[in-house]
Amino acid sequence: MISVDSSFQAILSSWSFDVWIVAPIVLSTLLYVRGWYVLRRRGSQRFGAWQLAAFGCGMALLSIALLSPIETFSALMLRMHMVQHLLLMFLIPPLLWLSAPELPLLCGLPSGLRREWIAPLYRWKPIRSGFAFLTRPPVAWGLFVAATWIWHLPRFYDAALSSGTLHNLEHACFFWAAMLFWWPVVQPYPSRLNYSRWVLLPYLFLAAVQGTVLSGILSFANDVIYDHYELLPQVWGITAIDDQAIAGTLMWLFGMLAYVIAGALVGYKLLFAPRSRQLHFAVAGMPAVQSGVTAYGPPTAVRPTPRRLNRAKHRPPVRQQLPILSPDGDSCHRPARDVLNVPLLGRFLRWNKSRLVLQILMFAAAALVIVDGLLGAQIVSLNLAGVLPWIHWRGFLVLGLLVAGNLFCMACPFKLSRTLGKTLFGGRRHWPRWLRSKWLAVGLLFVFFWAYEVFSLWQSPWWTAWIAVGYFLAAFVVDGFFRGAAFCKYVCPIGQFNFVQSLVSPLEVRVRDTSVCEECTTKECIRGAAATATAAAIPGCELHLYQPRKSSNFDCTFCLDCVHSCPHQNVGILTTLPGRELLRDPRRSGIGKLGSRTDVAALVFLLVFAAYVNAAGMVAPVLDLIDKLQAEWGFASRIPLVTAGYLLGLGAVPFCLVAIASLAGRRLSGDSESALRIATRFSYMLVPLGFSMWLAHYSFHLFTSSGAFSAALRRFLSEFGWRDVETAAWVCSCGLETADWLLRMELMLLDAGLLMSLYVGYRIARDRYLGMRRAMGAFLPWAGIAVILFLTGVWLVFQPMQMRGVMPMGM
Amino acid sequence: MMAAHSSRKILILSLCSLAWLPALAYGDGGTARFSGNVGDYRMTVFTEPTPLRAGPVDVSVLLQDRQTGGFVTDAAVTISVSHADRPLNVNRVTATTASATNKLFQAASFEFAQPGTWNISVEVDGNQQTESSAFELNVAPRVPRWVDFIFWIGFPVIPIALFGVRESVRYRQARAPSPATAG
Repeated sequence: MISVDSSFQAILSSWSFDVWIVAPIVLSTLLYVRGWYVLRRRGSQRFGAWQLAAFGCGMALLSIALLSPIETFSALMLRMHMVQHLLLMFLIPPLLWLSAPELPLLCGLPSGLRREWIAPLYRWKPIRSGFAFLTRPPVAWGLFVAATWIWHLPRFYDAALSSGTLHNLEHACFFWAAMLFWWPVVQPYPSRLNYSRWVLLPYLFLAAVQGTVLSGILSFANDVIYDHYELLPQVWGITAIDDQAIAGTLMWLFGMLAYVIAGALVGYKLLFAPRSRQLHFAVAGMPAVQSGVTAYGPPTAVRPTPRRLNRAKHRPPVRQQLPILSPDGDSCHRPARDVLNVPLLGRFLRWNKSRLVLQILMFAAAALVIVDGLLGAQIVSLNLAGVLPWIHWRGFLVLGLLVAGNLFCMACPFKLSRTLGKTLFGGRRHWPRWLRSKWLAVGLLFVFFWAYEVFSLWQSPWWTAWIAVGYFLAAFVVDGFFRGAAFCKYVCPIGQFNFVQSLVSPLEVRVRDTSVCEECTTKECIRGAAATATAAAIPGCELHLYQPRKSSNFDCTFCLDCVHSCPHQNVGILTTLPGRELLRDPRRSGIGKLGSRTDVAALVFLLVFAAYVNAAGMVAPVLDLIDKLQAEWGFASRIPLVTAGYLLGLGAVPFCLVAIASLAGRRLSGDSESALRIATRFSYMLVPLGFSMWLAHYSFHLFTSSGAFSAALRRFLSEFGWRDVETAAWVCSCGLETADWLLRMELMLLDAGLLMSLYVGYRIARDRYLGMRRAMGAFLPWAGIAVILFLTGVWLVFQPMQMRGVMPMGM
Repeated sequence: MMAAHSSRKILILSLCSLAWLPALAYGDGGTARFSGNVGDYRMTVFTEPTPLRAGPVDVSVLLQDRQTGGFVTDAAVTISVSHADRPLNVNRVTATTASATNKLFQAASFEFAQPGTWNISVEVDGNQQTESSAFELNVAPRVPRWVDFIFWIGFPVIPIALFGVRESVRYRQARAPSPATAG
């Protein structure tokens, strides 16, 4: 047995942590503090330390009620559960309203979000009238009493204690009902009642009466009302009936205290507070704060008596308006940040050898893959060629695209063989005109995806090594013969993948100040900079992207030649809104208008659908179906079936879906453009969704099999005689169920992809068509494709997936 | 007029509402499945989730001194579970306070692979002697895994609905005649 001290210690350490409670509390607090600070800085005298303290106390008590031992022991002791409910109903709501949270929370929000999202919803009549109805005293009182009594009925109370979801719902009902109940009583700034405050006295009195009745029932009942507590052991020798009586007494004491204090304060204000303090008014030259806040209708003017005018005159100066929700308020546009200005990282990137260093590192990794793939043991999960490219490189590639941009092209090891080819053969020929499109890359990508599945390339270190060798050779030959970066622009499948996915990346190589480019006559960013006494010559953009007219990351390899060659230092790696470039269709330097590039649209469709087909080729139901069909139809190998599957998944199905969406959209919108043109423009809306699927798929392999690199490296070192092999505890990661957190992450990625795709599609439609009806007519069929792809992705992530490599035992 | 001012409170309520999203992790405790005297102890066994379904299950044990009712956390508690159809296939785990949110409990997690009747045996190794108790649990079939993730699957509906409202409001406002033109 443990002592009383120890048991108290155990109780006090019984805190729970629920991110779904902690995160919103922290976020709300941060928003409030930020908004409070902004308002103070603007000279508002209404938000002092008292309001800040009230909000802080409210949030602290909310944390205590929901995370502390009070929550942990609420299922064991009714009195503890009662304390929790009393905090949620009588203490936290008044504190939150006393902090007048509306303006600080609004000011704390990013201005764009506030104006673009909150303001329209604020002005939405159903919300306004709905809340006005809910906060009318009879309604608020009725809801509060109903919530209290209904949830205290034994059937509901016991049900809540046996189900986490119902328990949360119970708490939510108590909290919301209490928030509504206390709103007329506290009347937080800048709200105003349009009825007499005398109503609040019977309002509070009647609430106290019903509370007394309920607590009396609990306190004086002869039997235990709630079965849940009757089944539990006695804690500190207190029986269930005594526990119930204590809970009833607490309810009565706490409730009465709250009602009496509130009633006394209301009465005092009614009798003694100056009436002018109860009104928010506008006087000449001093608009009421809310006039700039509400953005719907002028404030109710109060007759400017000499006394009010005098008081207004002596107030410290404030801004004429708080443009919180006005459309012509403070701009939400912030100057883009430049990665080149980031300490250390920026310096490294500005160094003209930085790219070479990255390329050498990647070349070393590629060399390891080739050596181990060709000479090492052909155990896929323990061979660097079976692990590095198919687990780590692909995972980091998509993560890099997500958080930064086209980092792989920046560090591309094939650039070394391209440079060697150019050095040896000059690379002076022009790339054939008939190949100056993405069609070759589309074909190569299709062949790669097909070969990957048909020959199970990930299961063959030897083949993987030869693919890498082939890549080096292709880069060497193409750039040895042809000028520019023909290999990158027209051939490289990896490059095309990166170009498309980086359309939703948050970084972009672009000019800092366009006015500087207007003055520039030498155009080093595209022509290159000549050698000087101190510096070697720097080539201009090999992909023919003229910086002042460059838009988006498409075709940009992040080589930074433009950064190094610009004599004005006017090119940087700037932050951009992910996906912003999908909304617009300007004429882009070196590319033209994406909306008229059928080859690029085909590339986009291929990569989007390949994301799903590639993942589908690894899930159990699809593999079982292939095996079943192979057995039934008597095929000797999987090749015909997989080929048919790829032709279906990357050819027929996309073609049909796109054709239906284009024709339906054309008909519904009354567009006179060809269906092909419509499909080309709308294709870009699917980029985020495709990228989210690649991201979910590849990050899944990265997170489930990241330990495979360590195992493969040990095997490699041991095999090639550099060290003794250690018997590490590795298990094959095949067939393990996806961890919940990973599945959640995959679903979040798909959610984000769907939302971004739908938004892009909607904006494309609105920009393209006059009138909401036409725009929606064009948009909805494409939204249908997006939803189908999203649901396919959801289905895929729930399936058991063929795994890669090994993982440490016990993970 | 009141409607015009009161709508703003909705926003604050909405912001706070996030705090009420259901927790994803199981809390320990849950439903009491067994309560009785075992040797010198009073033992209460809880399981989570409720209702009990095949899948991950938390089993928590609360030990009290039979005479005084004081809490006991220094006794070693071992929980064994086996399906009634395969009684020899026993999964035996030592319960710990570290696995429990409520530090008066000792908890362990199990994977109940299939529905049906499961035998639960709790062994308490105290200072003097070892006591044990056994009981049965009826476990319902597992719900499809996607049901547990329904919030994440359906999440896009929320922003889409908000966006729809926003666009509809903006559309109406754009079409509404301004005071100047309204005559």
